[in-house]
Amino acid sequence: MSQKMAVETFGLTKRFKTALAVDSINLQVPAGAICGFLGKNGAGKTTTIKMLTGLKRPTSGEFAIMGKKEQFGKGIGTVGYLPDVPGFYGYMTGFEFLMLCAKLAKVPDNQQKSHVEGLLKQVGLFGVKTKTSGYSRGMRQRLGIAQALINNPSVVFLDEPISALDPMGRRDVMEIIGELKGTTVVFSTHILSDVENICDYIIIIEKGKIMEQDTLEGLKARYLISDTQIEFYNDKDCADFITRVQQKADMDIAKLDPMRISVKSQKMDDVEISKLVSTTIADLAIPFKSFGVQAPTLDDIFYEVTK
Amino acid sequence: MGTFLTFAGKEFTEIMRTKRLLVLFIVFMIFAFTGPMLARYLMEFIGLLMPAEEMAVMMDMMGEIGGETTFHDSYALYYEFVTQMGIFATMLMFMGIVLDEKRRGTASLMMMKGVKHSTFVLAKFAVVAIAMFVVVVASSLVVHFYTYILFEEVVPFADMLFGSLAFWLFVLFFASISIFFSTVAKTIVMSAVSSIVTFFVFYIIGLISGLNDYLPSVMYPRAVELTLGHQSDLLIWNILITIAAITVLLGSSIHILKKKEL
Repeated sequence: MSQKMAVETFGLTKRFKTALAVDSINLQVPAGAICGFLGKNGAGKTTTIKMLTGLKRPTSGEFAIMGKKEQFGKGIGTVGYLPDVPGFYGYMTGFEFLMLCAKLAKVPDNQQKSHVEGLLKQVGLFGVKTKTSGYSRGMRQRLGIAQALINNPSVVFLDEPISALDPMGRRDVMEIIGELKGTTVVFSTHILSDVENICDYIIIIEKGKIMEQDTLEGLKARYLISDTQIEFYNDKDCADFITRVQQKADMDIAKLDPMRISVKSQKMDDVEISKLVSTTIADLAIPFKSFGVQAPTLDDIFYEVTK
Repeated sequence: MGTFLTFAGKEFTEIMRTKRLLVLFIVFMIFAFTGPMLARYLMEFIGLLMPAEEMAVMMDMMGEIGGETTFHDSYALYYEFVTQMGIFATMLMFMGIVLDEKRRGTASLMMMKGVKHSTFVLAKFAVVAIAMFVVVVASSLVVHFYTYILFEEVVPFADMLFGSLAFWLFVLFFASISIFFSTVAKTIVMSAVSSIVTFFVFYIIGLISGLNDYLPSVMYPRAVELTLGHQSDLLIWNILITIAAITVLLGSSIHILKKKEL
């Protein structure tokens, strides 16, 4: 049975006067996924998100949210949205702003206050009496997330929710996003380490084109090559090892410094490489200082895809 | 209707908390007091500043051109002041009414919550209309009662009220120009300059006799005429033309906002 898609695009394109910002993309985000939407600055992330929230008119192509085709300029009730720079009415408190949002989003009258208070607790702003004009960036992002969730949306788009935050603020916001399991979350960022911790689905966009979209495991399986690193006690042992191991198998060996090397292979996995390295060291009877397999990261995939 | 009232409630809170309504109220009230006061004491003020012989010459001249100031001048002076500075202040207060929300990003958040483009523009206009109704009628009442205190004579209450309603329509026309340019413009400076230039264009056209009779800006002289008990044959047409102009400006604002990417 095919998986239900929360977000789908069909040749979605956005052309500005002289630039093609989004180039006929066909992306699919499974329902319930927490999707990291990755790309360099100017790759087309914000433009794509604005089209998917109905705020920017696509030049061509279509998109569907929870299986329903949507259009530019029409309110999409099933969607929540946090802009990259969220703006609020500075003369209101966070509570007042969320109450306004709750009324507009048609939350039943008798549930509005409790719903708003629940969201404020969820984002850590409950009891804050300050007007939003006095909010820090982190507080603004948290209030922005709360307003995006006010209508209990099926899909939430968060545009760069962590990029401008300090490490503490980033951690808080990532925790909030991580707790949204069950709701489909699409959030754009270029801070890859954070994405790796909470995302189960990844889309990589580069120069307006979708370069990759898959589960994190799927991407790792396809892209990541084991990086085994060995450190010797002297240059000669290192050189002997390289010569011997290259006689045994076709491997990419890079010298990280005179006594330390990195061994990679397109054809062998971690275990096979470890066996080969250990037997070669035993054959040569040379000592080594350290031996280990470097854990692959999303950064590696991102650089590989966008290089 | 629920969304409209909720959003209008937000707008009302905004003009109250940002003190825009208070500023306009104070501006109109200053003229509501200075109009009658100047009408009553203008000659005395000039007398204090002018040598006695020159004053006597001036009094002779005043006699030749129609005599002393009367309670009618009290209303006329008030309208003269608010037509320029009052309208100018109104346009300044509302020149960012749509643009601010677009720039701040709140417009997109509100639209995402189900506020339609038409609701967005019309709720703003409705609140401006109600606020300016209160400001214009309240300041007209002050003019009326202050005139009575100073001259012991006033125009009929109904004439004063009809006059202020005609002037309210005049204010709404310029408020809708502000809303229009606030929707069209990309920067606050563009919005301000466009609104002010339009104001002066209408002001200059108003000086050309005949042409002004068929423009919304004629509602200012019509307001004065109504207050002083005169009624132009063209009044109904003037009202209809002004309402039509406001409708076109608001309709265009909604249409443009719908086409705009937020």
